[in-house]
Amino acid sequence: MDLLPDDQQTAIAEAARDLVAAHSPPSRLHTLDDDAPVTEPTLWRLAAQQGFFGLDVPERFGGAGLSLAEQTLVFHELGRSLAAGPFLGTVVAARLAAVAGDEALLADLVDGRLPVGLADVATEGLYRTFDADDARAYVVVSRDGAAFYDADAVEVVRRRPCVDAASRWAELRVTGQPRISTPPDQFDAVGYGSILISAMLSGICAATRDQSAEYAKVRKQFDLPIGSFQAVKHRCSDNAVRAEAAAQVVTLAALTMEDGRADAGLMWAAARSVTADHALRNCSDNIQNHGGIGYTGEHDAHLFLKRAQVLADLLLTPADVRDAVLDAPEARPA
Amino acid sequence: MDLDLSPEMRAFRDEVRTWLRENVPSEPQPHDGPEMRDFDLEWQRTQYDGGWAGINWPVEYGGRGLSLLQQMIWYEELAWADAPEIGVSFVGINHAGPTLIARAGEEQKAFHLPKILQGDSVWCQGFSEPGAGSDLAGLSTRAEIVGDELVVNGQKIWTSYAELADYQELLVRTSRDGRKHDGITWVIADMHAPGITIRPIRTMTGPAHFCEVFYDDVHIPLSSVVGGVGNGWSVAMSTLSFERGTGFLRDQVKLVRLIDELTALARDRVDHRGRRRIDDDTIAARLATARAETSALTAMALADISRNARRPQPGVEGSLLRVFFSELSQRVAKLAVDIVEEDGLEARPYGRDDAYAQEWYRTFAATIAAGSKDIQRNIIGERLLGLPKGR
Repeated sequence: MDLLPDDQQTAIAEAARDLVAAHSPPSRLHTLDDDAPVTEPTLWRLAAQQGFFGLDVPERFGGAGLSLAEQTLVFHELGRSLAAGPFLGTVVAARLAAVAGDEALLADLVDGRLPVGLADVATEGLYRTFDADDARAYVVVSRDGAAFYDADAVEVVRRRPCVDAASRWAELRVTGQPRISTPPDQFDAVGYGSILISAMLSGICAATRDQSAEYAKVRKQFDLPIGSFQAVKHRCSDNAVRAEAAAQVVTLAALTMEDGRADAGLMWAAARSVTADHALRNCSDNIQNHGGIGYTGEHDAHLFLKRAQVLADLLLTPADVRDAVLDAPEARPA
Repeated sequence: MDLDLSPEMRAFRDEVRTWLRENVPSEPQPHDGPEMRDFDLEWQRTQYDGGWAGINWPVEYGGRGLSLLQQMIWYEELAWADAPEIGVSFVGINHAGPTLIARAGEEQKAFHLPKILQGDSVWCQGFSEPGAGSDLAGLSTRAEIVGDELVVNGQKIWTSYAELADYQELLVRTSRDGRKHDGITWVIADMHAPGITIRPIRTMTGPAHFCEVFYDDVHIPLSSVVGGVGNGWSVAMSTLSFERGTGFLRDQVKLVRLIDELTALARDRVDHRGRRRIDDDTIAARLATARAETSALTAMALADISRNARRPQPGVEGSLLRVFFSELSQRVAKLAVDIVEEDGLEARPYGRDDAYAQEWYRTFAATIAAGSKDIQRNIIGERLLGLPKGR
């Protein structure tokens, strides 16, 4: 038993962090054009080259043969930097293709040739995506399972502007047949996707913790750094507590799912609940800690809040998450 | 990152489970007085005789010399087996013992550690004073060096189980010169020594766990000083990191179990309108949040164990766990009171299974003891985030 990353895992996390920081810092979101693709092409290409779309895909299918735990380390960094693009859908689709044994599709996904949008249920008969301008295929995730659709099997019914600068919101109707689909007992796509979403939210928890702490060290009032005042210091400390809880529950959720443990259902639901709550609270505190500049559009603080809002709504509403937590069976670890 | 226990660890855990099934006492644990002392020490002796005391303590002092992970397994299994609370053994096992192992001389260790493990001695803590709480280093209980003795005068307060204890980890001021942290000495006090007067203080839960301790020319041999005269602050800090980390693992498992019990309770109980408590949306939402947070707490505890298994002494990250645990335990205890509605108004003896209100009152101690939540936040802010000191 060891919940902390080993040397190889630490190297993966650092590589992901460096890559995203170099090509897609949060400030990039200020410069995105409306109704245009959001993916940074170099980041996407290098992420594929480093194997980030298939860390948990078996080696015989061209993946790295690692596990969801490593994949969450990468998504933590994508969340931390507010990386834009269809990362979630592509990795969920890769897992789906691995479960279904569709090797040709897997090769396209792992190599980054086929960016896949994540779609969940909007209203009766309609699906919702936030990857509309970047996706060349969709993975639809619902209670009934997961299904992969090529671009020509869906049509965009309606576009909606999104509060998050990097989200491209559309409602979709399915017009063709899925290329592959699996029921939930073969692949718990809601749980798997939720863990990746939670990992991104945990990255946002860490980013806002650090942004606040750094600002509190340099911003002076009453001739002192504001971080020396307990009112600010303690908010920063609470952010650190929430970031730690978020990061660790994601790891535990990933490991319980990969091990097929009895408490896997509880843990992914718990991860969703805790990371969404903690991210939104850290983002809010971060705006407060920055004062007036934190309220401006030119600062990054609001970008974190808005991305957290979108992530917290993907696949499951807060009410769905609540029910999932309460309905998960009691589990004494075996 | 992995959750697997090696075959060796699994075998150890199975052995623990079997032994606990056969040896956990069935009679209720007293919560006060000499009966509590007798019961708790008997349970400690039983654990020692079974080979389960001091699992990660050195073999030469009566421990098993095993890993922190095995100690963790033991604490978890204690909670699942409904074993008695650690009670009066808390300070000896969780503070004094680890501190002596880290900082005491050979003779001190050889004398005290086996007694702690064998259930032959009860320890209490003499840190807080009426004028020194969060500002612990401002303590003023005075110790003058006279020949080969310390002569102690002053007062300690909030000392749990002082009237049941044989020894005390006592912080005294041996110098008023220089930085206040540098004039402090950590010494082992004999609680039966002449000049010590104990006055119990009732707590808000009922029983008198708390005491004031007065020192009137109490003579303590210099050979009872641990870590050297004037080094008491650093000795005390090694104790507190234990208190903030692994020592609470068992309480975390208990919280997991409590949430499951409360969920079942909320499904069974109906309000005066005949509605199940769980069908009250605010109750359902609070239960779900608490269950999720308790899962996160489990993860944080496993991470903390993993961190500490990689280094010789617990670090300040334990404060993250401590803040989250202490506030969560308060929220859960209040949720229980709200689920049972007016039953929470009934004065029930502390320790009874359905004494939800009394259990809630007990949790108020969680954000005060072992460094208040405000001090914990200062530690996190200054030592983990690197924020400047201040007020």
